[in-house]
Amino acid sequence: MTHDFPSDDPGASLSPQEAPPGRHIEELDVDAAELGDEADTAAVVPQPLDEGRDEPATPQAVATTAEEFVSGLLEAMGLEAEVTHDVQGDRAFVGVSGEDLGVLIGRRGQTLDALQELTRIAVQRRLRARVRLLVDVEGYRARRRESLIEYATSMARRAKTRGTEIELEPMNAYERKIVHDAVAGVEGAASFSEGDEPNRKVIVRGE
Amino acid sequence: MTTALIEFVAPWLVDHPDELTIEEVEDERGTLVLELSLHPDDMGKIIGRQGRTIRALRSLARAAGQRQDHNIMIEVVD
Repeated sequence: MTHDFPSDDPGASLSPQEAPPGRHIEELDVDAAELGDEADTAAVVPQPLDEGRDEPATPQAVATTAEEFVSGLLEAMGLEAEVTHDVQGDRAFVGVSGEDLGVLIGRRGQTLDALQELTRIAVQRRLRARVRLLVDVEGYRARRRESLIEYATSMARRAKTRGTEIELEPMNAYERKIVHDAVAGVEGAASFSEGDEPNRKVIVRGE
Repeated sequence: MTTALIEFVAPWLVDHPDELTIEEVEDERGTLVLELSLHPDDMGKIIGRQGRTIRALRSLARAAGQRQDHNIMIEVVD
């Protein structure tokens, strides 16, 4: 399972000759149109409030307000989509489905992350409270999580077999956690993170 | 369409959405530049902490522009 995709994001990946000796660089480039993502940073990393109190809003209020925002936003963008809301544990969830929504996911889920972030900011301001929220389009996040686990496991096995370090592409904190957890499940492999955001990346090492 | 996006979002983000004006300018490379002017107290709100809000807005505007096959930039002007 070797991926060698060009990156149009300057600084997002190192070319092999820039890697430390004995280290391979791997890129997992997931096409937004066909794979999923779980880049749930905004919902996991505590975010400062733009305006508001420390009181958390009820997930139900967050979910309905977020649905209202996302529906209006997509309509303004001229996108036809079905928007639903749900509450999962203490977190509000808004799901978007429809035809041809790849544009709303974007490269590595970047547009989806922007949608989630803007929704969180808008809802937080409207409710004047801390907001925990997940926005997904076409089940992208769930599928991305699955593909990351599969990828991390295969890289861990490869690092173990070769006894080398393998450097993965930059990922956000949430994705790195998924990778670390998956690598921890492979005996004889370990992982750590290196570099600064937004180019922080996971290194997988055979032990 | 991108103008509609900003007009929709504004009341959610700023205190004086009625004072928002959007000027569309096409630069020499054919990029559509949307120049937003706002009530002075709202400038920081549209930009957000560490530029988070404007970054997200730009990303969505680019996506909306992509569908219409043109490049879009958003600038906040004094």
